Amino acid sequence: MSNLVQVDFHAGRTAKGERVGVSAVIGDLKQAQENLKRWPVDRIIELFDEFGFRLMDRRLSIHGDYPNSGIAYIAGWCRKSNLVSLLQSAFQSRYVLDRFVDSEAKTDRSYRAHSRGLVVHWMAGNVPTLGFLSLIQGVLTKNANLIKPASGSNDLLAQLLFVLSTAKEGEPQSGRDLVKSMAVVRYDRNRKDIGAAISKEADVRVFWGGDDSVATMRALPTKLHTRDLVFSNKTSFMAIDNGSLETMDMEAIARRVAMDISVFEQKACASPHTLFLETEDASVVQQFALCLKEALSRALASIPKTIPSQNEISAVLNLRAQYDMFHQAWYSEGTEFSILSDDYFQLGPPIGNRTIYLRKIDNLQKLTELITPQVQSVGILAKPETFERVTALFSEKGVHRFTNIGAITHFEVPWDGYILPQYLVRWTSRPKQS
Amino acid sequence: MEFKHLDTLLEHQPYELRRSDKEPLFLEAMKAVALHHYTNCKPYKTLCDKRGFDPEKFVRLSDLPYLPTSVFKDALLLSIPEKDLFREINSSATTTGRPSRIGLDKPTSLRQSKCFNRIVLERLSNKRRKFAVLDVPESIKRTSVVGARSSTIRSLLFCASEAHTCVEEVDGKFTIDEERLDELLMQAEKDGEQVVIFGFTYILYAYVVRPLLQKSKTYNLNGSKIIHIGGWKKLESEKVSPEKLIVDCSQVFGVKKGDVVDFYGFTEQSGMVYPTCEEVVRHMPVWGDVLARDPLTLRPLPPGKEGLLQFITPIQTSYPGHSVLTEDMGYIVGVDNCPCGRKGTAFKVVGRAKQVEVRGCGDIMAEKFA
Repeated sequence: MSNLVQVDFHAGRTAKGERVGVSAVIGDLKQAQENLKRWPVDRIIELFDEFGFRLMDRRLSIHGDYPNSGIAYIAGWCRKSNLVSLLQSAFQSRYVLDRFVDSEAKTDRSYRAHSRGLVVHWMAGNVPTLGFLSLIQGVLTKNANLIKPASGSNDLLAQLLFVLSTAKEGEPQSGRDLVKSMAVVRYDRNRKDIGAAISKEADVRVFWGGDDSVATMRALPTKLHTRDLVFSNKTSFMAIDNGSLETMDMEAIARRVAMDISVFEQKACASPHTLFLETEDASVVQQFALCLKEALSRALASIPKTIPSQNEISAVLNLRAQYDMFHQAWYSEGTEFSILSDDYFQLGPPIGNRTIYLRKIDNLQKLTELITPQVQSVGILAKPETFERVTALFSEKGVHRFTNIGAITHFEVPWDGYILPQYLVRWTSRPKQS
Repeated sequence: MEFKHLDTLLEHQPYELRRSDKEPLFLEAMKAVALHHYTNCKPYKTLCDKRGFDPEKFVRLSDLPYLPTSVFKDALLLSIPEKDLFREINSSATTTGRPSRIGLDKPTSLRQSKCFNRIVLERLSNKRRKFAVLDVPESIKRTSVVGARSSTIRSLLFCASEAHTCVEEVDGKFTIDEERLDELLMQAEKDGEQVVIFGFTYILYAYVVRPLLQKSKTYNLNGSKIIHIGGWKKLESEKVSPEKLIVDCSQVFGVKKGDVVDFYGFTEQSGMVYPTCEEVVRHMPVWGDVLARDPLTLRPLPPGKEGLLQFITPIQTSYPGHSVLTEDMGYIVGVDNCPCGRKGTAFKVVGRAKQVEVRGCGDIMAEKFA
């Protein structure tokens, strides 16, 4: 059986529908990486910076072709200041990617971070944006990168790489040269032989997706020292303590909550599905729900609605009817958003499509019982003492990150407990030369 | 409980009233039934109150709150005292894996049967015929526990002079008893008898029509009817369109295209059944109406625009199933203007949006075939 894969992007160009042998794709990537690993990291940053700048141009057709895909977010994320800060926080000096750098902590040693080789990203369908951000980190660390998007997903990644290819056009070490070290390929998920062929060549395997599909992919054969990074299914929630509810502007808080609920239509693992209010007073929940309803309506203007799937519509309408009959619900006239309130002590379940459970709790600390390692992010607004206490408790139980409310979906490092760039390099040390 | 306007509606032939004649009567019937559910079903009243709906004051059908069909999977909603519960129907638990629970009292059950029978007879004509049923013998036997598939089949047999099944079960797998089917159809052809061939859509096509076409085997059963019901998912995946099914059935069985009839209905409004007419559209009887709603805004759509179908009927009085929003997409074709002559709202069901698995009884049954 032939090992042909369908390529969305390969050899520096979009190639939708073309079929190429998987060995040829990997061979081309390795060759391009031989070139890339000699580039200064600042040149790669410059290219991404220009890419981000270009991507901010709303006239680019990619914005219309792929609405609500987080393109503006990617654009901002690729700017120089963010990338420098990312690498500095991961490595202390980004120049370890270029040469040996003297250690500040260990005064007699110097360190160099080499690329590991080929990073393969198996991506989930829910939010390609996050997968793209892991790809950028693979490139910054001078690896070749091969991406297998989720089956049925669109070709946004290839289109983004095309925009990147136009950065610093005509100059040496241009965007066009850079993208030769990246490929986006698709193959039938049943073709385990192709998956195995790719996996055997990987030096780092990055998995985004549900537990079952990740487990299946991880079972593919690999080299002994290949490193696996798993970003599997996670859930997230928000919590506001009674002190904040009493003293802060409820409308302003609701606006920030609404942003977190609206971004990515709640498809990201960092998207919150439940908001806990620390109160025993049902009227506070009611008052907050009305503020949130207004804020979610307003958020529709800045984050336009993606048409929900039939499953989502069905789930939302069912819940609305259920909650109208047996609990409480506030929602838009159409299927844009829903706020559901009950007396259950649980997270979610996640519905998506801007559906949030609003639940009261008499003490935020009790939420510790609900924390499992599957809880990724907690957006929290609390007075300092409560903040200290609950973040310490929740993090011990497994929470990976806490954010301010309104910033829960902002990708950052570490993510899911990983400082990703550190996992994409191989370290070499030597005595410091005087 | 008396429902004067509903009773008047039921005195009419299913498709005889123009909208202008039907609407005042239908609205009054809906008003009485909505008020009945509001008064007797507490959860429904809570929902209406929260949505600002007053059943005594509404003037447009589109103002009537709807319950999504999935709501019946999570709660047994009743508008009658539990002691009056005559029968509980469970759906085939297709898409979600959870069956709908529908509670019937005697008047609702009788009304449903009456409405169902009248629509079926209108489409099949008032003549008892021999039925060739593409299912196993157990499907037509009287048993205390009735599955959804069996219930669907048996509900149609009221107009059968006799019923013969043509599927056998061997080691848990179904196979068509080709010999028996051929014998039945050959005999009908020889006697010039008009029969009914009834089966779930996929079984009819994949296990009967297509093999017969491949063998170039045809019958001349002019005047007979081919009735099918159930999911289209498996046939769609095999690129068989409704049009192709009609053409192929017509060719194999030697019947007119208009005699190939696709029945549509759902458990949450049993008694309401929508056969395709000779023009391959479906019609609302005088005791029902349908709206298509935009999936995003949920507002009613004009004819021709595809949306979620909301079915409205006053015939369900034991539970608040009088206004139900399905997961099926479709559109209004027209009102009072179908060339077939039937009055009322004509509509088409185009299936479910791609994201939803379309799994009807027929698709489930298809999995049982060897």
